[in-house]
Amino acid sequence: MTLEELERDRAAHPGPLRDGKTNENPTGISLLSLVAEDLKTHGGNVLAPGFLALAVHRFGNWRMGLRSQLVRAPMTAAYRTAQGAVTTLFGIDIPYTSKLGRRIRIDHHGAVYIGVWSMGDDVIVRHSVTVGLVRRNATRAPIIGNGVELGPGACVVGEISVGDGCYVAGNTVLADSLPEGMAAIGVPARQVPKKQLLGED
Amino acid sequence: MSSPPEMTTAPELTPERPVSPAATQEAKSQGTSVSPGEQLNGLANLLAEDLATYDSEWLHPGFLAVATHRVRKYAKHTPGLPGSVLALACRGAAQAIDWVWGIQIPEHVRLGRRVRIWHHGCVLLDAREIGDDVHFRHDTTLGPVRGSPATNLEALPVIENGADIGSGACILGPVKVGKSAVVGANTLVMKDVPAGATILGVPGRIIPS
Repeated sequence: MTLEELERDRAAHPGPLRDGKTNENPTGISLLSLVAEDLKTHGGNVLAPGFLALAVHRFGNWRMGLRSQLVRAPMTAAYRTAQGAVTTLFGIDIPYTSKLGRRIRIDHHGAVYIGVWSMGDDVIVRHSVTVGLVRRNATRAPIIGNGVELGPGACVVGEISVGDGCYVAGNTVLADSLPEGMAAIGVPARQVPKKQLLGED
Repeated sequence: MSSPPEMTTAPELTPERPVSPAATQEAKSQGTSVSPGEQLNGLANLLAEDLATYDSEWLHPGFLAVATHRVRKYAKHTPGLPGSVLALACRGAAQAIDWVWGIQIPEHVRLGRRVRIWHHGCVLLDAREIGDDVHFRHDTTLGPVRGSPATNLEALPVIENGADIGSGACILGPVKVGKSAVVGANTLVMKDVPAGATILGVPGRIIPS
């Protein structure tokens, strides 16, 4: 979907996250292949908390593709248990209703909350990152593009869109849309060309 | 805090290779390598110093993380099967400590003496080198500017002796935090910090002391 389509869908939806009635995993790839790809993204470390959190997320979505409620019920029980474990032990909370792309890497665990309308491919999420609502009772969550990096301690909130290839610096609070190829740094965020901040790309 | 056990400051005696200079000298004169007994003695001294740094709280997550790192380095110099088994055990212990307390010190980090990690939770110390008497708190990130695991050590920060790193600090890229510098809480450091300076803010700005 294009960014415009995503933004339109998000605006039309009653709540900040999707209703969770469907499997929103990336299409064209089986659950096992997707989990294998996530494992590869995390350096092949089956004990990486980021990988485990994502595996649970993928499973949570996959089970919504099961049509029979009878078959789905034990899967839901398993998903809820696993999600509780991953959230409690690692502090990585990604509701399955956040739509995630492929090859997302969660570098380190601890204080990670990802509530997005949609997140693209090849995103790097470091620890202590918050993506979600701008305040209590807000009703819109961010759209994160492909190849984005969210630095440690970053906060990305509100009805905003972070374009492809953007870099959100550490400890930055971003509550406005960020065009493609830009970087955000500061509290509140100042937007600068990515090249200016990082000296390359 | 009781005074730490005596360790000399000879160049051979580093946390990377904690062996007494006397033992090194003797081995040199005999044309042999330092005996495993001496190496183990050096490691024991180093761990005792670390424990004293943590006021003898051996269950302190920071101490456990640092101690595991010391043994991990020691295992690298231990040849053969015992070395491999010890290295694997250390890797397992490091992963467990990361799981439970969220403190990760990657294997390549050169860690100085008397380093204190005051609290746990979101502590990722991916530096090239951390000097002596450096203090860290929780929610602290040392690492590359980009999150890709740094295959290049040159892309990682160097923290010099006596630096004091505030909670929430982010020190990213090939930057040097100078001797006894102070990095304020929640500060983003992407440029060198001169010795003795105080830096605060996002992005970090040197403030007059």
